[in-house]
Amino acid sequence: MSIVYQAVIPDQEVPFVLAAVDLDDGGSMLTQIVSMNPEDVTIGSKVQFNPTHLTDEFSLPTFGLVQ
Amino acid sequence: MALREVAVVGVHATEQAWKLQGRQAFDLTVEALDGALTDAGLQRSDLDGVALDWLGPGGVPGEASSWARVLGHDVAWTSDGYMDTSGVRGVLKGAAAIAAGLCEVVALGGAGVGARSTGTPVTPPRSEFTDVWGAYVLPLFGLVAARHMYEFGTTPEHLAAVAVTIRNLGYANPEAVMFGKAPISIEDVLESRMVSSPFHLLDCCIAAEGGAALILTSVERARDLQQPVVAILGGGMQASFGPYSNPALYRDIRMLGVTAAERALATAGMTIADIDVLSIYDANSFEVIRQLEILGVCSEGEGGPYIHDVGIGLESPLPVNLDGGCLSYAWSGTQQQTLKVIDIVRQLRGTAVHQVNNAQAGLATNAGTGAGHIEVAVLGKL
Repeated sequence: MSIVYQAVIPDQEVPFVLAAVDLDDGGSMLTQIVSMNPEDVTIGSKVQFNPTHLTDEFSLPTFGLVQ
Repeated sequence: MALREVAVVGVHATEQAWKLQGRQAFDLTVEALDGALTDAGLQRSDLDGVALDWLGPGGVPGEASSWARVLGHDVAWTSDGYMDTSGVRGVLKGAAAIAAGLCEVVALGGAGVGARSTGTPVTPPRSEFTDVWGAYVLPLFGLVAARHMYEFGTTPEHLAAVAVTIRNLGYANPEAVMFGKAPISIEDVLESRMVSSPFHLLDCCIAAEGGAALILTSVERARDLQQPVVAILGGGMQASFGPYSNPALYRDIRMLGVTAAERALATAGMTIADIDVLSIYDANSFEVIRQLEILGVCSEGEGGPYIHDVGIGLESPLPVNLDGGCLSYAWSGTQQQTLKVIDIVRQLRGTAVHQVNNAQAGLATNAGTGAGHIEVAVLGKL
């Protein structure tokens, strides 16, 4: 994972957490871990699917820390 | 003809700067081309192989045969594309063409401008499965660095030590973009702003403007020219995926480059112990640590302690990036890859700014980890 403090997408809020997550069902994917505090996210953190609503038609398949 | 019967006979690096006033990529490329030919003691009429960037105007953008009208004669061999007009990959392909008898004298090079004015870190080409997450070059390397730190205990201080050593060499290199900066310390690196963890600003390479070119021909012809003969003793390349199209996971890429390095050294009839100087792709400080591991300079996971215990500076057993590298000497898009080869050529000729004593063999790499590829060349003084 990497906590990204400088974005290249103009409207991207920073910091955000870029991470590769290993899925329980197998496989892995690049995603963002959405967290109130990025510093709470560490390698090995358990995460769960938690999509980010962008528009009525489109959500980004992001993840969040398991509480 | 074997690869080792091909030599680098001419090199030229243009001025490298944050912004070169009034310069375009095309005129920088022409300067680099003519400078390398002059350095070799050759003329445009001697050139029959072209691996030079062609952006236009005129000709066909991206097509190196467009150079024929500039040179004033037909060309026998061309190569173009993202990394085929620069660096180790370009050199190995050009050398292979000469060795195969397809042409006799190859020019390789190009130039880059505008990296800073666009405001966007470069990640060519665009990649739909990584761009959507806001990923770009630095965070994609960050994933790998973070995992390495997690698994092996590599520390931010280890990364910073790489940055300090190489940057300070560039600050003392009159040709460097960052020439004249005061030397920095590990604390300076750790206190610079975090860009994408674990990379602080000073862990990251520069983005600037400039060009470079080099000329290849047979060793036989090289012996009649004016420079000490520097031959390409071996080469190897290795790629796992299209650059930045997938996130590099450490567990998948941990051995990326090992085979390429083994091939390059085996072809040269050498081991890493025979190498006197390294010029390693240093887009960020961590990349140097990882490449020391895959080159066999130290074991996997031991790169951090190696930096601390042994070091990579001019007085170390195997110096790295004595010109200041991408961290502080130059970066202009793709030609910093060519500058890695030029760095080794100069070391072997004995004309480097920070010169290794009696360098006989050197190794240059382009990469890198986050981008899923590596290219390795071994060069030697004959």
